[in-house]
Amino acid sequence: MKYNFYKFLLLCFSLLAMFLVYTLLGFIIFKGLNTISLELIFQDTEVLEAILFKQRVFDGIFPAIIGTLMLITLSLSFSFLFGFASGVYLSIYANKKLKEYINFFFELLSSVPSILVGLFFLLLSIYLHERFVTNFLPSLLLSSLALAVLIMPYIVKNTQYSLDNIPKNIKHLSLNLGLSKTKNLFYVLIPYSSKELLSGIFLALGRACEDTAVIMLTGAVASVGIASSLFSKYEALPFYIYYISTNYSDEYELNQAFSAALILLCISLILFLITKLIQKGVKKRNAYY
Amino acid sequence: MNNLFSKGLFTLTLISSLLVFCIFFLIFYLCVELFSFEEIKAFLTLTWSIEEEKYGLLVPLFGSLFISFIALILGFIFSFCLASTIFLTKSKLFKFFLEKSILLMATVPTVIYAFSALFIFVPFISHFKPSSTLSILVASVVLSLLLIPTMSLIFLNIFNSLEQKYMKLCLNLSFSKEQFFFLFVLKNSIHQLAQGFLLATTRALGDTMIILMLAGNALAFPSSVFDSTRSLTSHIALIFANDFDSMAFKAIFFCALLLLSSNFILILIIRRIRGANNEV
Repeated sequence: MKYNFYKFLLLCFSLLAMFLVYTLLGFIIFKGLNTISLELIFQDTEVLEAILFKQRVFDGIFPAIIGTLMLITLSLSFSFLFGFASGVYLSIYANKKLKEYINFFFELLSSVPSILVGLFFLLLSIYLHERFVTNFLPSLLLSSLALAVLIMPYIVKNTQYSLDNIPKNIKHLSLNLGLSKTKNLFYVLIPYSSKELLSGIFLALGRACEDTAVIMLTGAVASVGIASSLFSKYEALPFYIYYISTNYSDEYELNQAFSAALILLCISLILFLITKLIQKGVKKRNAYY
Repeated sequence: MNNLFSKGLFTLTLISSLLVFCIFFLIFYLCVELFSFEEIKAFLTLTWSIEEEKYGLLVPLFGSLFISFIALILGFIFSFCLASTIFLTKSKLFKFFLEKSILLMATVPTVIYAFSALFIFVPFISHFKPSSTLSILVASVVLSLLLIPTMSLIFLNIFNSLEQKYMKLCLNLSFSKEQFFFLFVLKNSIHQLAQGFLLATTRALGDTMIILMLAGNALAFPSSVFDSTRSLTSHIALIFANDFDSMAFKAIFFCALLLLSSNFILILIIRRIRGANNEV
């Protein structure tokens, strides 16, 4: 009897939490769907012309969308090599002691608050700029490097986890048949766990597209249009939302922010769904073995 | 070939794993180079005003601790209740809904939570207390939602692993699932619950956007939860200075050092707890 009361209490708080979350998300979706229009995104530029980059869009959300996409692809390309290599090394080659230490370092790295990663890169760029006059000022490049550092622990962890979880018989079969460790890795282990590795990439992309604190310090600005090079400043959706929420002057700008929030939410949900679908496919396949 | 490849991998691993020390050493180096004892004393005062050359950091420090504390308590209650409900519920559909919702929450960008709360929670609070707009209360409630996925997934993992190990035994002793949960699982998962709580603490202390957008960023010492304040992270975000030698910039390093070292200490404690548990 007494447990029923406890259970009721637990249920109440769970429902309260769900209520709060879905109120927040529902409001954004409702407002976003009400306000979103092609005009808010592209202004008066022709849609096709804008998408093909023939004409520049100056005032809409389009540059921010492109900025976000560029940012996450760049940061992934920077962190992928290092993250993947570290994951493989830790899972296949490292001995137990080394593995423990390096895992600890990555744990520390993932605990560093994102704004400090941003601050670190900002300091680095100021320092390099003062000592040796370089072009390494806050820019798309700097932001994507900072984001790369931020998402690297996720890629390492995922790579390591998926390689560790390959069934032992498959892991050792070709080793026993005389393949070297490296060949075993490329011919057996990576193809076997390719889907898990892919899902990790989407997970990292999702993490990259949401972070605001890092890009705030390292080069995101409110209105410059699409970045023309790696060394120029750029727009990004999360920063755009933050900027409008503190500086909006009229209803129109606010509507733009709601649409931007909806689009950002959609991007992260799509990345999340892709991750889940890939993982689901993996589970089904594993059932055969 | 084999050897060369593994050495290459080792180099890449070493570079990426030592990045965290680069971050720490750069901030630490700048602090040591710039600070004197007098300056540190100047940081530990209440007033921050660049015009009057006062650089007290106690308000953001207390703000950080205060907001994180409330958010952690709320977040712990929410996550514990969610994890237990998922564990105890008999309805598969409800379980599915709650589990997927938690995973979904982990992917929602923080800036969206904050932006949405600006138009829902802030007016709601000021409806009851007109003097209050952006406040500690709103920031901590939204921050607690952010902490739910981190904590509840860890809690759920512990509950499930204990169930796998001991559920059959307890059923044979004719325990109900509720009895099993309240009498056995809770007592045996305290260490891991603490671990989840500490991990969430690192997230709460490190979050910038929610506090920056919702806590109001006032520099006065807050007297109630309806007042506005700022945290160390939002203090860093709000002060832009480009001169290495200015006191404002030094203050930022000091904030960074405080945040970084507190998070490192928390991670060390978490590992200690985990290590002690594994030995048993």
